[in-house]
Amino acid sequence: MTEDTDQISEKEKPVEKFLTPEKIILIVGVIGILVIFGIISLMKWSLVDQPFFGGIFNTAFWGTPLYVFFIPVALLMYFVAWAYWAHLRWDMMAPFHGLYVAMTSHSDVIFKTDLNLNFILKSEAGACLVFEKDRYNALVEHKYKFLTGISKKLKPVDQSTDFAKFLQGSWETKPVVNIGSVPSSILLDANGWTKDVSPERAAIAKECDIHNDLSPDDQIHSLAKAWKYMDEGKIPTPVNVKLYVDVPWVRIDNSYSSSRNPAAWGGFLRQLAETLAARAASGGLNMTWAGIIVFVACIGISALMFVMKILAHTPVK
Amino acid sequence: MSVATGPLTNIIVTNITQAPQVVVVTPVATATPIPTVAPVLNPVLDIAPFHSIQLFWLNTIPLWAILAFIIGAYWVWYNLGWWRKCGALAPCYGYKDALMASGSNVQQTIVFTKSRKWFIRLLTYHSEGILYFNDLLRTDMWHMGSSSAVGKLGGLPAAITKDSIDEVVDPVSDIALCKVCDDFIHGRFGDQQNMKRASQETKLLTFNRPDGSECDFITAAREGLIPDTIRDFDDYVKLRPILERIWPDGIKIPCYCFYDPYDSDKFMPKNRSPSLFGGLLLKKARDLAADNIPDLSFWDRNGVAMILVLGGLIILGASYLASR
Repeated sequence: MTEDTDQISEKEKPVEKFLTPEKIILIVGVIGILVIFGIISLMKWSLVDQPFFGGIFNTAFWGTPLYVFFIPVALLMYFVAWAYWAHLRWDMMAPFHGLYVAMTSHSDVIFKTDLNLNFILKSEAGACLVFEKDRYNALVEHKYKFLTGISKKLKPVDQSTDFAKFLQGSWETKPVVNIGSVPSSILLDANGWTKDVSPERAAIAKECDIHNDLSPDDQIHSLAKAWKYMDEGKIPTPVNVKLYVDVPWVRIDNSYSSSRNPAAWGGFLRQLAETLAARAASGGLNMTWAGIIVFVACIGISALMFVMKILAHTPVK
Repeated sequence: MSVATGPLTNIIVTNITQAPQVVVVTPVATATPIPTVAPVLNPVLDIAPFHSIQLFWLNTIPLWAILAFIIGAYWVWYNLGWWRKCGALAPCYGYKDALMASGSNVQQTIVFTKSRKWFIRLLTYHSEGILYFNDLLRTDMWHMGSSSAVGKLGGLPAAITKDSIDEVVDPVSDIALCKVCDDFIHGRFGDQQNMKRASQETKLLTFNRPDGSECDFITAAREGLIPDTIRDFDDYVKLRPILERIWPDGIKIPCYCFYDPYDSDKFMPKNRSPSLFGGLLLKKARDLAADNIPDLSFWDRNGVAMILVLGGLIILGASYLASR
């Protein structure tokens, strides 16, 4: 092991332990449930000495105890809860589900954009790694497959970035903002290196593989380091890879114009003024609405008069 | 007392002569007994799993109540789980608001605050301005200079704003601005050929003096009309024609780089915060409203209401007469 890797703290080392807290909780839980059911099964079954709650819930309704009607109520409660959370709160936020994954796995997210400002949230592994993450995650497989399966179920954490950081020894990303509780970096990927299928990244990965074999003490696993080494000429730049993009002057001028003409937002100002005037006019009791209420009340009272007249009508014999 | 034996039963009957007693009979109200229906206990659901445990009332709790408690407790746990899960997405709820809102003025906005937080808000876009139109107590407003500063997030148009500047932020322009300023400050003007060309072209530039007269580059540099370096936005504006001569094809930025939205603050225009911009615009709008938008007259404000009240009274009177 080199000096560089020795400097990495134990916390950062990707060590796969068998008895993680989640596994301990699961084992204790399973044993506890088995013990409880074992005790219950050994007990002598007998009915309650007296009906629960004075027998209110045992009262028969349509020949069925009242508590049986809790079943549809419970089903309704679960359905409403599921519909509210899953549809109104979760499904609609599909582009941001990665945030929850990042929060549970205590990792960062990368807010990525291209030159046309198509933003997307990506995992650190998806936005930073030169190689496919499966290449790293294969290292955390247990001897037995079922243990790997349980481990991934209990702790679905992508450890590829941890491995890559460990192997590279230094990392370029630095979170600059927080999205909720999740630290986030913002990345410009103008040439689509981080797309799922990227010929450029594949070409860079080949060069990095060669470099890593020749210099195991100075490995490249992040695209940022790869870019830097290609720019400095430490590794060859593949033919199909361009390291720079041009930003035309007009784009900066549009964003930061040297002078602004107030006439540009004249319409905006007028709209604002009309909104303010309308709000001032509609302050307090709105007489139009009061008139509508009186009118509707009159109609209602009139209808009531006719109803009473019809009800009180006695047919002449 | 006489003792006799019954003929059939051989039971000895003792006839005891008793002294006459006075019996006081108190009239007792005898109520009709209420027919009580014993609750039916289900042989399965009403068993008491904790029958032998004489602690608290555990021996009286039936199986169905325990099941109901478990189902209820799990429902609470289920909701808490979803709450935590969806809570992680809370900074992005502006996206959902924008998704559900309709209208051409709906604008999803990504906000970078000075406290280094990132979240999404639903704001209103109107005529080069982005603001909280329905909440005029919040004066923050941003000027949208060009559509190149508006991207897409989750399929919806998304603009980026910061607390420190009243312009909609274009990250690519930010990176380019920082890059060109840094390159100029550190004298990275490219190769010799480019420097020679830029030098020749720069000498052809003319600059305006404060009195309106023109001068060439060398004179302007000698008189201090153009700064030596870029310290702020004003310096950048003064040097802008020269920068374009040095890098005529635009600014080369790394195709893969991390962006710090606060890095460019040093080169941005000063004293142009969104709250100041919004405050000034609101003040102007109030003045405009006071000067140009006339107050509604009495009939404008109350005419419709009076017609409605009159109509209602007529209907009421007619109904009364008809139903009498």
